[in-house]
Amino acid sequence: MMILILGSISLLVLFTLYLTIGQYQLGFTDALSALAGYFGHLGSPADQLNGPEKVVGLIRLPRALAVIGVGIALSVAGAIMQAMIRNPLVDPYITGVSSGAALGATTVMISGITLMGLSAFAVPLAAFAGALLAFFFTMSLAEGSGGRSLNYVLAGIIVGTALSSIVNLMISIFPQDVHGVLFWLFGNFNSINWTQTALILIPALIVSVIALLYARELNVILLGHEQAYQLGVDSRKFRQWMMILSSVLTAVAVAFVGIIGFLGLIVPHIARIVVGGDHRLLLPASMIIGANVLLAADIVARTATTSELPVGAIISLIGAPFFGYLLIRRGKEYAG
Amino acid sequence: MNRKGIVAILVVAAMLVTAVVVVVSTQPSHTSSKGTIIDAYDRQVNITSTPKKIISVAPDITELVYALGAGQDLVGVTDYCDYPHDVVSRVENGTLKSIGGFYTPSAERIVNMTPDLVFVSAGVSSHRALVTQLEALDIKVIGLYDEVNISRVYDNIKLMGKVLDKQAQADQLVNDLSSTLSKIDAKVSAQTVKLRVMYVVWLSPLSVVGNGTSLNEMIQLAGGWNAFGNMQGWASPSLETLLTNDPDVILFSVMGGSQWDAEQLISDLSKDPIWNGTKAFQEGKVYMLKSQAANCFSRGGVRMTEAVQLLAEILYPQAFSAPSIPHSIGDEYRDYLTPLNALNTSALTVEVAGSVREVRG
Repeated sequence: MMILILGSISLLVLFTLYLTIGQYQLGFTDALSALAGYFGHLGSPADQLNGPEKVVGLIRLPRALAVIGVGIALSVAGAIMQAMIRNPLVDPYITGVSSGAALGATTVMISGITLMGLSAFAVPLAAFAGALLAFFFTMSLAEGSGGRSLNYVLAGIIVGTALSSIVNLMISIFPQDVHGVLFWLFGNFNSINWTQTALILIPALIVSVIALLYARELNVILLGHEQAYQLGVDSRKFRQWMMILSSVLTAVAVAFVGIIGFLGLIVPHIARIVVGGDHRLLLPASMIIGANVLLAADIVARTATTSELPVGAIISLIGAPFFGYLLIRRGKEYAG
Repeated sequence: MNRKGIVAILVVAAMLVTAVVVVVSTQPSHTSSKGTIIDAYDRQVNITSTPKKIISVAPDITELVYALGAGQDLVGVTDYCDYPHDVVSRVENGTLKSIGGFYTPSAERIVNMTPDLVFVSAGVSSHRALVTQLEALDIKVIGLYDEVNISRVYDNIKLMGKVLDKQAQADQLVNDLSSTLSKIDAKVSAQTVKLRVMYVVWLSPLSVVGNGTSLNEMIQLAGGWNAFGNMQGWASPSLETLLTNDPDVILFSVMGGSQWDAEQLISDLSKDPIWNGTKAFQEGKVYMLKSQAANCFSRGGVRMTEAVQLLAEILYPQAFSAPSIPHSIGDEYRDYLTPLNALNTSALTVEVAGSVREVRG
């Protein structure tokens, strides 16, 4: 419980920090008054806002919430995957979802397709569709070959590799678009607005809550197939359902901001070290920790240099040595 | 209520909310009025008064703003905007600020500058998201067309002229550019043999411009023949294709940093039997374009005609009374552009003894 309280406090601190720091210089009190000013003007058109109110209310606030949404989504998806595959070294992209999203986004960016009035959603929509399509292939392949956890992992590798290679082919055939594609692939929150934030945060929260309702079953599934069956959990159906949940969370996270790696992998581990393996605590803890970590990383991404760094790269940079450390400390426990 | 019921309700709620958010955010809210402009994204933008504080999110847009005589109204440019020279000096003395990179403009910095109008390019995929962001911030944005050919360049000139209320200058600029191209065409169309041109953008892998690119059109306007015109876009030919297509003239373009030393590269390649087997190397018609010379080719835009003229002079020196063009051309490329019948061929700002004198506007 402590972690939830501590985590919420630190989240609040980071959130306030997030609203204050940025390219547009603002003091701490200025940021707070700008926030109040923004809420005071809710409902009136944007030209009523002054500069700081615009920056805090229309740029940083939605972006902070989107970061929290993605942090929650990826951490919960990662925790679910680690339970389902019964291996703590998996991340939510193991079902090939990231490659599918990359394919969708790359296709739209290279072909320049616009969807009439929906052109602002062309890339996210294609990425989301690609992600779900990839998961559909993975699930068909896995279920068709037995539906066990190992099948999902292998199917995910097959689908992921195949789709990634198509993306690579597209990049080499159309190298003039490579910049935009690469920047999307690295993951960034550069152009988040309120619409995207709503589309990320609301599904992320709702699906995470759904996952929480199944926390007991997630505990049980860790005991193995027979034990789970004796305890009333049909592991095959449950696995399918959980895979779907996890992939939807991942697809929502990836569609708007690109591929942010490592978060879904390391956050559940940190949570496990703090609260143990009971998913009724592990899932909420992962949510809080994930939101914190991504928020901190995005502050760095926004302010480290004059140009914006891709947040996915920053997390990987920090995550890799941390995970190496974890592996050395706890790797022996996960034999076979 | 059992768990399945709760889940079902939650799922339906999520889908409903998503649908509502999408529908609400895509409502077109503008009504057509007198000052309405349709931009390259097919958006209707209402311009009620002439913009006096402009931000450009691409180097060729910056050049176009200056060419129309509105250079002093610019308040923000990208890190890569470096032409004309006034841009560089204004950035140095702080009257012109940077909004970040070409692909990563910072919305916060744009808000900080309180612009009247922001120009983006429909040819850059990341600018589309910027447009949505700026719309939410109530900042006017106009998307210019992707300049895949010269007629799109003219479209952009006219669009910007309409937006900035500089229509006379825009029409004059279009006239100047097309008359320059006609004069060049007059000189090169008399050539009986079209030289085959190879324009190299990268060496490993070997990448050249093929059909469907603006550079391909420039080669043709200069009276040349793209040796790799049978390939599409930025193509990667094999060395076999290089020998087969046998270009008469090769242009190497250094985009950005100067990682290739011209003389070194040319001498290295001439030791390679395949490269040396091409007509270009045999006859010594190998050129390296650097900094602003490369930019006027790769950026296109209003400097397209300078690039075309430079290339035409390289291809057919006998048709122009040009000084002999060196193998490595950089910022001083304008010294080699001969006046075509002594008429004003360029409507760009011309540097005269370090100060900026605007030729038009």
